[in-house]
Amino acid sequence: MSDRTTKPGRIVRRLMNILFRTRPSDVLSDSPSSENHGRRLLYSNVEKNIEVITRMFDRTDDFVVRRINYNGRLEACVLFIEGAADAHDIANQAIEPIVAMLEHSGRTVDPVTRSARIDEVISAAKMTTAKTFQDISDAVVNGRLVILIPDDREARVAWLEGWKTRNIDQPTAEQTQGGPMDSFTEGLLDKISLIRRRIRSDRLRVEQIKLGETAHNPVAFMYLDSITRKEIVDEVRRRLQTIEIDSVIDVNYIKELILDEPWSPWPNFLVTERPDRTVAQILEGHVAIIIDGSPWALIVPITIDAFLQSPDDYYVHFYVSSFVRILRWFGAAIALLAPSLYVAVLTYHHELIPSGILFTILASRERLPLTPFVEALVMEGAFEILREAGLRMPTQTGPALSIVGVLVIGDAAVRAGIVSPLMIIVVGLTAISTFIIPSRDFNNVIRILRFPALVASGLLGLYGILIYLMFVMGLLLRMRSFGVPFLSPLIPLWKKGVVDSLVRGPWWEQKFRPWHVVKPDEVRSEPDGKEPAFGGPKVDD
Amino acid sequence: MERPIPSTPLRGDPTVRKTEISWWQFFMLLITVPLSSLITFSPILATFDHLSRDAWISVILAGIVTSGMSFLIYLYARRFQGINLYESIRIVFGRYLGFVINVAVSMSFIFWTAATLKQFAYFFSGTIYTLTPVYVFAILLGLVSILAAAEGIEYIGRLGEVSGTFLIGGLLFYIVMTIPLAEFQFIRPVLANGWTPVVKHGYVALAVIGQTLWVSTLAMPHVNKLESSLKALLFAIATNLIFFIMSIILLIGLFDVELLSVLTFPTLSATRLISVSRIFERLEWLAIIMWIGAMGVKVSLLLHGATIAASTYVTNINRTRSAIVFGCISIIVSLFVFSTKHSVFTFLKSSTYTWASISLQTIGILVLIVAAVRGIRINDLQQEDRV
Repeated sequence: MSDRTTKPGRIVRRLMNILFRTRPSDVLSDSPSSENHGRRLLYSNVEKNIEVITRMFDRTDDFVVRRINYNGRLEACVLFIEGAADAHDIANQAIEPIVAMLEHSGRTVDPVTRSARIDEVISAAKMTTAKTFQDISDAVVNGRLVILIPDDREARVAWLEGWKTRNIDQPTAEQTQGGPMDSFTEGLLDKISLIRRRIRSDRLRVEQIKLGETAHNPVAFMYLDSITRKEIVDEVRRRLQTIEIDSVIDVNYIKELILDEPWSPWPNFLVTERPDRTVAQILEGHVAIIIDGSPWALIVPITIDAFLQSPDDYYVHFYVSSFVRILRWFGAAIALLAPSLYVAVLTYHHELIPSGILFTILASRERLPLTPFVEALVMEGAFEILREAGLRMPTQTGPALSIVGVLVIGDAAVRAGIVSPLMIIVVGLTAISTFIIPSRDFNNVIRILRFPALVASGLLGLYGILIYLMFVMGLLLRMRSFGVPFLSPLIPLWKKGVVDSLVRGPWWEQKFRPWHVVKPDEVRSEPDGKEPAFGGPKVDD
Repeated sequence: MERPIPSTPLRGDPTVRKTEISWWQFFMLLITVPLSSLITFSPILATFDHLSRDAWISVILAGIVTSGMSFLIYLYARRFQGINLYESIRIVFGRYLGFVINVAVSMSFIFWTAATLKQFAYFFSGTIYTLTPVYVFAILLGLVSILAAAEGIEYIGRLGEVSGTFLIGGLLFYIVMTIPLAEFQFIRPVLANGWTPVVKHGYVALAVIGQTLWVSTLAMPHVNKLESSLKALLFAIATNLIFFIMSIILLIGLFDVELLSVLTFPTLSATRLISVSRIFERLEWLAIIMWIGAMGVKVSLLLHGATIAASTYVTNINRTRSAIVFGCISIIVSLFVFSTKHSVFTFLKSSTYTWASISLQTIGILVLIVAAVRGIRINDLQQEDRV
């Protein structure tokens, strides 16, 4: 609509604006309930402020407005959300002291004195101020207590969050036989404190940002300043800041958005629930990303060997952990290739089997209606279904289902002449081998990649498997995690890194931090290049 | 919801940049390419015209000559560090003559890519999948090489690390397992026919082991620490020599010269003799695994050699697209080279194979000589540019 006001009329309106406007920012909107109220500065009239905020939290029954009156006059008003802020702390650390102060000093006329005294008496550990309605809204939804004071254009924010979190418990997905037994919980500050407890250094940096256009979930990333390469920290910050998403409920939401290779099935991140593992990674120079509401930490950048390592490796003798690590690589190979090798050898390469064994196998397969390929496909599919069903079943019935699936159905299938006993052995071996892989993400990839390998072996035999492996290896060689080659330190080869990759060398041999996340030749003990003080033999010896 | 576009700020090793390889990757490339010839067609043995019990001495002679020529390639790389072969040719030979030579070199790389693809395809269609058309395998390997060439020299270097490791491991296994079966008296008497057949057979040995020369010409200017590349080069030649000599002695010890001269794929035949506790037998697939990996690296490097010609003359060219174009050309050419399997073996005779190899293997030395005569050094040119 065009402005048809006459010139004198416009002049009068401008004069009115100038006369009745208190601050330039206050004219952002005419109505306190409009969408622009968030950027508006607080009024000096506390009743008007309460009205605006109440409208912002309209139909929000857990939003509490508690007026503190003295002699019939409003002296302060506290705002919080029940359950988000700690009601007990609010009563003890805010309301009671304010009431006591008012009773002790009587009615305070001077607003400046009143505000200063309220600041003095509130005993919350951390206090900040809020100047706009948006600040107040942010503080309240984050579980803080907001105190509005009459004739004061700044509200006080007391950090008295009372989010209910579960207690620190033992890890469920990454259990170990030794080492620390605590795991992360959902609270962001809880996770940070668990990490800080183990790294008591002023160089531990915690940068927080909020993700989620609607949910505003707090996300933090932690690293060691002057150890982690600046390029990596900058890249993590850049990628996180670029994310546009409605909400971040779990770290997996972030994962897919900041991957280097989004279409590759291989994980680019290490996901862990263990503070000790997170701390070890941070100390090596990696960056840990944690979010509020998820008990997992994301570690970046990461290389393939991390997925076949367990925290237990560092709590047992290095001979044992080296042996187990090599075992895991073999286990991963068996989990990926055992069924396909079975199919390839029985379908195309009989000559590879010694004649004595071959006759036994052929005798056991004499009346089977299915080809080895279909047999393997059916059994692997059935196993995956059983496994998935076992995960979804209640804890009490899950193991029972597995037993029924493996023993009863497997045995029945053999007796019915549908599958051969050898196939059951292969499927069992494959299943057991998958559980030797410590990382759930890596395990899932192996499970998925097993089926194309099966198809390749069914089509072309051993050479089909070989071509398929070349394809997989090509993908792995191409992959990077935040710019770091995924197969390092093996490819490209970094000899110093092999000490803590395929095997675990003794501590005194692990002199350097991983080259891909820190400056070259960074000594683990001291960033200034001092010799490590482990008491073992000198590295140069 | 928007997915942030990841940048790759790091290339892993902080001392290695996008167009660079480490000396270890360079070493692995030098190992992988010549040893790929050892496993199947094995030209040193398949060139029947001069084959004798002294073939292993021919290899030593070829190794000595290759070492000398390699040092010249090192001097070339020092002179033209950081720039590719085509750029150095253009600088040394001038704009017009350089263009003509570059076209010839690029065509030479395309020919060798096509020839290698066809050899690979003939092997598979002739020995394993006899009902499948030859071109299927040429296209399959061609696609792999296009993917690698599109990624660039650093990726091929990493591919070489994987292939080289498997190749060395596999060859060691093969050698260790066949030693008990060999009759080493077959290599005696030494030099029974004098030096002439040994020297003549040395030509083809030079063509095979000398593959390190074109690999060096392509890859050495990209090694991040050039001073280490000479070490890698000499170490690689020594390793290749050891494997070639041991393999030849083993094959002669297993089959003797007469039987050897009629075997098409002697190494494959030798792997069939291996038996581990009578459980693992017929292990020729092991040799084929090694061979396929090595061939993948070799073809990728050859195609890379052809592809970088485009980036020399066309600025800001998309490497993937140029790899696809040159890869498709190579695949098409492979349909026309070696119309029969027999023509492959004819090509592997010393008279043709040696001369066909010379163009690629000596181009770096030629550039070095002309550059030395003309007093051209890339560092001087860079300083002039700065001035």
